[in-house]
Amino acid sequence: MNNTIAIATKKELVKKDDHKTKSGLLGNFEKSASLLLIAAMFVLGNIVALLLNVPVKSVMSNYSYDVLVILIIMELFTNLIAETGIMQLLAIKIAELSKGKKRLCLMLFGGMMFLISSCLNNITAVMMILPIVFVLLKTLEVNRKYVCIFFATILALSNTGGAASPVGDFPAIVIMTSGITSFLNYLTHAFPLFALTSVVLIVVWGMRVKKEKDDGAIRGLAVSNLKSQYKNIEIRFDVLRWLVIVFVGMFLAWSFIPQNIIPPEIIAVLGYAVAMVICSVKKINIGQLMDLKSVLTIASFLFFAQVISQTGLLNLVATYLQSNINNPKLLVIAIMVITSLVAGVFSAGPAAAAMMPVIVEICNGPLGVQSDWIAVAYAAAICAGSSLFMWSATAGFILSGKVNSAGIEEEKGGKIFWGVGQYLKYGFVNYAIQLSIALVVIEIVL
Amino acid sequence: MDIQKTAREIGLFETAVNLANVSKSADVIQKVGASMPLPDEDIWARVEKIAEWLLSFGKSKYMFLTPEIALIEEMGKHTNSKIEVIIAAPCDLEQEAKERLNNNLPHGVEVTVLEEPYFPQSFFPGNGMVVISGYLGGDRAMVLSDTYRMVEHYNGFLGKKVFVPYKELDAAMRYKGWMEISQQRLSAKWRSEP
Repeated sequence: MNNTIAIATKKELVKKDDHKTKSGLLGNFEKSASLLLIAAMFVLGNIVALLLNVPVKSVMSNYSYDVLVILIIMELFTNLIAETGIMQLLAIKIAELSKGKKRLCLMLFGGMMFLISSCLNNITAVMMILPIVFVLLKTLEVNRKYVCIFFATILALSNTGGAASPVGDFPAIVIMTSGITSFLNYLTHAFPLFALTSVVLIVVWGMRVKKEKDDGAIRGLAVSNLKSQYKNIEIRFDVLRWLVIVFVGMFLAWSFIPQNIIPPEIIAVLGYAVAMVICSVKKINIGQLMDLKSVLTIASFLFFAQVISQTGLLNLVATYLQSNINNPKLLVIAIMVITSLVAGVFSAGPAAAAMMPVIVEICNGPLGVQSDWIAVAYAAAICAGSSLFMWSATAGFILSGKVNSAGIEEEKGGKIFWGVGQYLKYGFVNYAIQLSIALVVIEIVL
Repeated sequence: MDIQKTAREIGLFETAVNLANVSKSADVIQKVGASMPLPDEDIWARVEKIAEWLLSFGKSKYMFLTPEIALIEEMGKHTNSKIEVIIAAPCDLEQEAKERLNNNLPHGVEVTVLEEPYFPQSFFPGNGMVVISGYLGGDRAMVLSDTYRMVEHYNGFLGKKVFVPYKELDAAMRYKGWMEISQQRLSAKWRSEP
């Protein structure tokens, strides 16, 4: 095996094409802004700690390294699964099943997105299916509206999928490692809620796509050509079988082994190590790449949130909310709305890190018995918020960059652009649908 | 639908096989028929005959200037001797398309992808031949523009250069994006009727 351990920013490695599409100044600002943000959060965190006499050593002793470890490991594990070629096979089967019908394409690819990102890192999940989606959309003769609806749905479903399981995305990992709920309790409470939300999203957006009035020949040709482009691809079922066994083993271990006996990050590391050995024996050539920038962003916000937490400010916020809102249901709803807006404006990662101490404080109070549902409510609020704007979602800008560099054209000609502005109105609808469902469910169960 | 772009990635014969199933559709005639001649319904029989014809030259190396995966697969089925196929990928083929092509090489035959402008190693008139695909318009051999460029680029090869059409038109029709290659560049042309 030729294992290349290369921890590098995935954007730098795959975004060669993206540079072409972003106009110089805006593109450069966007790249610098994310790096500036990382630096600013670390610097600001240190300044606040020094000014308020919070020992940085104490901040670091309580730092959530476990979150970062799980995040990195899950991304690396996703890379191993992607190497087997199974994602391409699934995507082609879906294209075949849909017979090129645009509404069915949206629904089936949306469903696939939800399921994949509930198990695997959702950025990688998006990246895996995109090449096939692009080939299909280019031959299906789509219009601007369809592209906007399609990718708005994919983006929202990558968020709901990520929140549906404790290892799907960063906020869920933060919740799992916080101790307010267990792996199994989170999974059993969250998965049905997010599956329901996903079905509603798929139906709502699917109904917005008009049925075709053609004879289906062009669509059939598009699917045939797609199949030809992947007909000789080798699917490593021999490796996939073992990786699935390891993944199921990790799921069971997360579910049934108490965190104080074997912490979840150690289970993740052990599982990945076993998977690595399997891939090594099966002679799979793996390039283990990961998006270090997103890890650093999350690391910086975790640091800042930890500093703020140690100042006692967030406890005060939690106490203030608890003392001013006597009805527990209203309190949870208020926190959900605040959290969703914070997630919308500042994106999912920072919101999860910033609001977590407040949630923990509330779970330690009178709502402790309902902590499983509060964890889910918190995840749902972050999930809704992260579908509000393009920048809120973990996979938002990466997806936008890929769509724009794919060069999808309208039937009449003219390249289709999908960015912050194009997503805006779809984002509001995604946000409203997700938050409404979450609020109704929480109102019923609490 | 940019059918020529698809053909650059899977070859004209594979595209023709896919097209043959839907070639009676009015939509297909209107949208695809303007970019390339629509294939005959018996395209599979043609693929088989051309594969046998190519193998009859008895070469061990075949260099294709378009990625004719259908034809290569058929050649693999019709020979017991070891043949090596080299697919020349145009230098302006998109990176993602190149990756897809590299992962989609036919099994059963040794196939390698050579990127233009490089030249194949150990490829001589005695052991190799160049295969050019397109359509025949009357007696004119028509190829896609990047194939035309590669025909000129690899013109220095002194061995056989054969033309295999996926379609033979009676009249000399020219479609947008297609170019006629000089008869002097070709050693032989396949014809369905001698």
